[in-house]
Amino acid sequence: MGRVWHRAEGSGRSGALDAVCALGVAATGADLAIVTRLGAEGHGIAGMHGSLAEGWSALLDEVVTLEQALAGAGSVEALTLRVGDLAVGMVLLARREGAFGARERAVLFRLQVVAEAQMSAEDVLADVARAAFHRIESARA
Amino acid sequence: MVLTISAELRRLRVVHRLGAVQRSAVLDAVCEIGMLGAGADFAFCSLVDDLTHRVVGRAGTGVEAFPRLPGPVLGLRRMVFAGDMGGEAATAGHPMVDGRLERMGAGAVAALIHEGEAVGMLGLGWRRAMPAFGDEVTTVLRRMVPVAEAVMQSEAALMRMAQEAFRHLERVRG
Repeated sequence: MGRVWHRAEGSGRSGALDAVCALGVAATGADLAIVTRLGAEGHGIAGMHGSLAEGWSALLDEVVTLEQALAGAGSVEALTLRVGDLAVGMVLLARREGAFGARERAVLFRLQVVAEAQMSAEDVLADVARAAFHRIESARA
Repeated sequence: MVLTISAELRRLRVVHRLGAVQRSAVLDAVCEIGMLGAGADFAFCSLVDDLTHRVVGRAGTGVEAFPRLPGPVLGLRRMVFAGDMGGEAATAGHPMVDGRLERMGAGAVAALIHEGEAVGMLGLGWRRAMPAFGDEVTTVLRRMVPVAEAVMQSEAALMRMAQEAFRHLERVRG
């Protein structure tokens, strides 16, 4: 939990993953849902939604530890996101007060499935776009 | 109760472009989140395919199709809430499980849109009638829609790329 957070790169934030987080908040009553993408410097925000999200946006302007970032949350549940054997990020639900129950945890496991699939798809599409761009550039040169 | 299909909505073109989207564990997961979040008995996600709503995601049910609906049942971004469907079980609005009608006491459905056209629907179902739907049902259903649309779009895009790559390989081999 001690990894350093950094500002998400332009291409790291995803509207679809924001929507996944919004669904997570609606389905669990959480105050915050976040999907992160693991990069060289740590976790970057790939998707986020909830009433605690505004504070998080401000925090993202600075480099903070996860403990600092979650200081205002009463309870937190998180799962690692994987593509194959590789950890690629995390999905997290946070609440100001009260613990998460079995139903909320079941939702979190499903959010993990959806977020992993969406991140994989976005990675593939980004790779293809990059390859196409390089090919065009090579042809021009 | 029959989910109303207005004359205007009947003109919506049946879209086959997304036929590549198959039953998906990811869409199952979206349905399960919706079912749990809204306190529904089951949930489903369908795509219109050759005059049938083909189920591509589901939770709490073995539903496979809505076989007799002539097209998308909803207009753009509309949601329909049917609180008491129990009295008229054998209607076009009911889903089929292995050729049998799935009992549906109440339902809340929303249109799925792709490139400006309704291509299917997302639904939450209850086996009993519901006197009223709470705000959480509306909110969860509204939030499910963009996620399901994004998943379908990604899967369709990946499938198109795979098909194109295969065709290219065939040409190279040619």
